[in-house]
Amino acid sequence: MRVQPAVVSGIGAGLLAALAWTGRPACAIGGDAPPTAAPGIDRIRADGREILPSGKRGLEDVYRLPHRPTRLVVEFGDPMTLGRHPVQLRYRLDGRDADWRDLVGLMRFQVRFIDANNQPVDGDESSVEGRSPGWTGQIETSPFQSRSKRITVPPRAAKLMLWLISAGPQETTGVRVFESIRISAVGSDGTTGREVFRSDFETGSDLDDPFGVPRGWERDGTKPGMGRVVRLPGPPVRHALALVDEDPRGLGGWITGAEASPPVTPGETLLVEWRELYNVGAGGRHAAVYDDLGGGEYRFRIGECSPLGVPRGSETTAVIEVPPPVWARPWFWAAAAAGATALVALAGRQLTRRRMQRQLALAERRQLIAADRMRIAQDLHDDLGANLTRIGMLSDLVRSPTIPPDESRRYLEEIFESATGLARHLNEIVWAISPHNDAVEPFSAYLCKYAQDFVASSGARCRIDIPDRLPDLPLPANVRHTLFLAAKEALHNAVRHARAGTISLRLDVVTDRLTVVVADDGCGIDPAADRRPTGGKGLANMHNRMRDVGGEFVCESRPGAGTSIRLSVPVSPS
Amino acid sequence: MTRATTVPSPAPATAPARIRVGIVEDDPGTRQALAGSLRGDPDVDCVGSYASAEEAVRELPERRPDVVIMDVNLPGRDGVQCVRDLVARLPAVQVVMLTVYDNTDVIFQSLAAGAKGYLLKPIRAAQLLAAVRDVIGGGAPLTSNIARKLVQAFAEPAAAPVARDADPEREALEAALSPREREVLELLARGYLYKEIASHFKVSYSTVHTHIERIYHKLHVRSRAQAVAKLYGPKG
Repeated sequence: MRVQPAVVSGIGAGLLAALAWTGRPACAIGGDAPPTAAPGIDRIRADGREILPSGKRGLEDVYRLPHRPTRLVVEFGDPMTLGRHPVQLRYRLDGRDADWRDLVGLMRFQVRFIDANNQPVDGDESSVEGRSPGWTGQIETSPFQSRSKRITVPPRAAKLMLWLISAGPQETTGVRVFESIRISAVGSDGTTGREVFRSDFETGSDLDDPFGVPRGWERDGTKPGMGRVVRLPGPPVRHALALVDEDPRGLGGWITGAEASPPVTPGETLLVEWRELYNVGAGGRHAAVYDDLGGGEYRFRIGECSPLGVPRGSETTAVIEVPPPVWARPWFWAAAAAGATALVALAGRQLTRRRMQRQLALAERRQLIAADRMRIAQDLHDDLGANLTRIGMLSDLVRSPTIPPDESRRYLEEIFESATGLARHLNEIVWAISPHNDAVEPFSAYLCKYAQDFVASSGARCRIDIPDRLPDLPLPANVRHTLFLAAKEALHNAVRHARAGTISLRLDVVTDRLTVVVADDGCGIDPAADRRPTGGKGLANMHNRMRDVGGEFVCESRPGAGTSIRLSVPVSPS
Repeated sequence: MTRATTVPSPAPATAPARIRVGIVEDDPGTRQALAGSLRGDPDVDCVGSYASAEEAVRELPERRPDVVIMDVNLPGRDGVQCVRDLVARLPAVQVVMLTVYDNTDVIFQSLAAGAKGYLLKPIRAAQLLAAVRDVIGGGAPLTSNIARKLVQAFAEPAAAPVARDADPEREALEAALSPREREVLELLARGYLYKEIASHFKVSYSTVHTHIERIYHKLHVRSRAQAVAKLYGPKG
């Protein structure tokens, strides 16, 4: 029995169709099965020197760097073995990278011009890398971007060809999808004119099949399978031209067919417009560079993604340990502590030295005071001793009946004088050593009284100019003593040598200085020619002694015009 | 060199009786010498010598001395206190301090307590006798340093009079220096001698003395008021 030919052809067509139809969905690009060999680290170099892993922590290799590197290079990648599903790699160094870094690849969209002999003349290229804006990881849901470019037709060009190729670095993986391409001529006034080329990829054969062929296009390259057709679900259903690079070791794509290549006129300006989306990455081998890593533990992670950029979830990691800087290491702190201790010890020694110096100064001061006391003791010893002896002996003499009365009267007189002299001397000593008198007011009273007594005995007029109230400031014993001696010397000079009519004593405290001025209206002295019986060193002595206690001595005098001796010492509340 | 520093008071109107002098001195030897010195003058009568302030205050007033020679350095109550006590009991008595140490502060305090002068030990008999006469009828210079202290003392605000029976106004008047007295004190502080002050103001020597005596008196009044004020507080 003979089967009806229509039924047979119908069944046959169905079978053929069934066979031809690969059954793959439009975006079944890249499998979901994990690759057979995982990407890994090839080599780590710190400042040019290779670092070998020093051990393993679980599944991770541990690289211990000997020191902080200026530059760390991590070479890594996928093994690129045959039959392996293509991957897009990304990587990050935890501790340095804030996020994943995608490896970079390129996909080209070339406009080629050929001359009448089909020889290439010149061309233009638009490459993309990375992801188009809004890329969702799926072609169907990602938005297309409109792009355009102006090109001038080079001389000798006769025809134009378009070439969509994944021919970047070998490692490029990813997709680039064109929804439409249009080329128009641009008039001299800038307006677009006639349409030179247009392709919406809606006509052709088997367009719902990834391996269908849009009209006017041909597959090209060593891996023509990289040219695909993508069915975009609607409504309305659309189709797009795609470049899919899943294999780092090949190039392939689409090219305009000979009859579709439009003729062009040299010098013409063309506007190329297209709509595309893309995700372009890379697999293969790569080197990640990190500069100036600080001390710490880092983890280098290599992640795999599908060519559409969807992470597969699995990772390869390795631990990189960078030693801490000097100041973070334990021994450093021990050394620093030791250093600090040494510093403290040194400072302590300085303090001790300073304290010793202070004590030395104190001891010197005590020495000075002791010397003073010695002097007073000496004075008492000499004066008191001598006078008392004299008094004793004279008293005894007076008792003797053999001494004539006027002689004994003389002795008694002497005894009285000695006693009186002693009393006065004692008075002076007591005044000098009494701490109560180590102040401006008591000193002034004493000097004032002394001056008046002394000047009165000479017959000259005494004038005293001291404020009613003087500040209650201390005057150290040695300063007081020196100041008094200097003033006394000045007064004695005035009485003995100046033959003055009036001798004046002025005393005042003005801005931290106690000033005493002894002046007379006598015959004056020539300070330079100090020729007096006392040895002529009186003034110089005064000057030096005043200076020794931090005071000043100034003598102003002109022969015949009187003398003024100014003594001053600093006084302060402390 | 010893000096008698005394202030004169007006000579008594009646015929000069023997001057009655008391001695307050704790050292026996000195006391003996002083008494001996006084005995050497027929016009002077030593009416008592005591070794302590307490004894003197107890015994001396009934002897009615005209002059008292008072040692500053006494055991127990000191000479300055003794002056105060005696002058309180015998307002007319003239006290002359005796001291080894020429201490401006102590001397001033004595004057403020009511003394009229001071002497430095050791002192000749003749000088002692001269000082006794001086304090009754004559004077010796008030030194510049004492005068300064007086200026300071009078510059302080006077305490309010507290004696219940005293006339407040009179006391206040008494305690304040007159302008002339102030001037005299000023010149004394500047080292002017009595005779220089006299010629400056074109007054007699004795006028200057009078001024100074009044200054002393007012000082005494003042210090008395201050001392009482300290004890009893302001009159309320």
